[in-house]
Amino acid sequence: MHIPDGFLSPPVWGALDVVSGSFLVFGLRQVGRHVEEKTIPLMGVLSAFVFAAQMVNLPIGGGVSGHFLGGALVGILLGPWSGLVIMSVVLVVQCFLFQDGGLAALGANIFNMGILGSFAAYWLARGLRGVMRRPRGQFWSGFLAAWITIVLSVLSCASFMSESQVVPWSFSFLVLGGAHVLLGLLEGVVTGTILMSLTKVRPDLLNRPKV
Amino acid sequence: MTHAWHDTYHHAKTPAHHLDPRSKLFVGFLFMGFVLLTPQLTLAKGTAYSGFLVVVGLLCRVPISLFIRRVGSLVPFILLMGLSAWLSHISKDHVMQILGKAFLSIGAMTVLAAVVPFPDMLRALQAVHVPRLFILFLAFLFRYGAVLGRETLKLERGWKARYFGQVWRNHWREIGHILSALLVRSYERAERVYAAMLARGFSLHGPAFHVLHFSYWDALLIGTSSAILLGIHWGRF
Repeated sequence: MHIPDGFLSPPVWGALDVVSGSFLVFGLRQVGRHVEEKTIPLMGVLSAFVFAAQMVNLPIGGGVSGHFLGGALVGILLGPWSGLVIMSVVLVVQCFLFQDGGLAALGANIFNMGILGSFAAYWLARGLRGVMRRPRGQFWSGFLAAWITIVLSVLSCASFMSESQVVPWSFSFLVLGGAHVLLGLLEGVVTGTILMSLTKVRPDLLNRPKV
Repeated sequence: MTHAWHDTYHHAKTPAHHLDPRSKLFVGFLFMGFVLLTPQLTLAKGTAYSGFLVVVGLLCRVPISLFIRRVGSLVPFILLMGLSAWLSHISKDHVMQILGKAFLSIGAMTVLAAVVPFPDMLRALQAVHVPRLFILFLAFLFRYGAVLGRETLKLERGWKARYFGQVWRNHWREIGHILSALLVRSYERAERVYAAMLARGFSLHGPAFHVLHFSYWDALLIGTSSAILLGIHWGRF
């Protein structure tokens, strides 16, 4: 889902750089204002956790594997603005050190995985937890929130590429959307399992103030 | 603060390695800007941009193997484009233009990452007034990404040694448990990191330390590169 440079037209990447940049600046201000100084290293180490967790390959079958993205998890754990900041940090480092995702397309990648990833997951999980009972509710709310978020993110990615006339909308909708409906299940199971494990091991981490 | 494990900085004794990181980042971003904003990347222009990149790469002694590894991230998109071009009316020329821009951009980023150490890049970002909080998070990720990455691989290796040949769903749940263990360890490590930072007198609003020196050589790099890139961009060939 890390869009490289060249796959988006200048108006699309330009507009998304402005939108995501504004969100990020506002997010940093929110984090700086509402988060205690003690939480700063915590968020920094959590971004390293997301970075490390993305290295674990999850078997899908037939020799194919995917990896965990983590946007939904950090959004649910720390809140949407913190999740956005953490995912942006991860995406910037991946872009600079691994050339995973383009520099001009950084705004699009932050929009898909940071803004949509954290905000949609946070609000979906919050809504779903209200109607589901614990402890299974923790798993299912995380599972559904992560799954829906992945599908939304990839549809957004497909819409940007079709707007840039790189691939036709119907094609990208079917190929990317179809593949990620299945890959999203993987993200959902892992996110739900992590949340359920935390309920048992460190429930205090789930009850931290969300920013 | 260097991590050979996830840092692609390639140490060499070349003039480029001694330049100010700001000037190197400026030239790198200028190159990508020119390439991506070129409406029609003709064969001649594409060759000229590639030539510029190859000369810079050779002068900086960037290994070609690094570039080849990095291009791997394009494979899923190349497949998508190929399938799309095969099934729809998208022309071969359009596909080549997109791939050409993607290759040039990845090449420029590879050269940048190879000649600018990550801590220097952070200093350059600080000098251009990127919010300090963001730079702190980037520094934390750089510092602890390698530590947690190694821990993750150890956990994964242990898991693979014990749980082989199981059904997918169980695989994923076990990985979920591994990652939750890693998450708890990360939290606990963050608490120790904060205590250590306080012991060293850290303050979020304290002064930051940065040593950057912009020399005549930097001005020469920017001037020459800008002239060459402008020549390629507006040249009639």
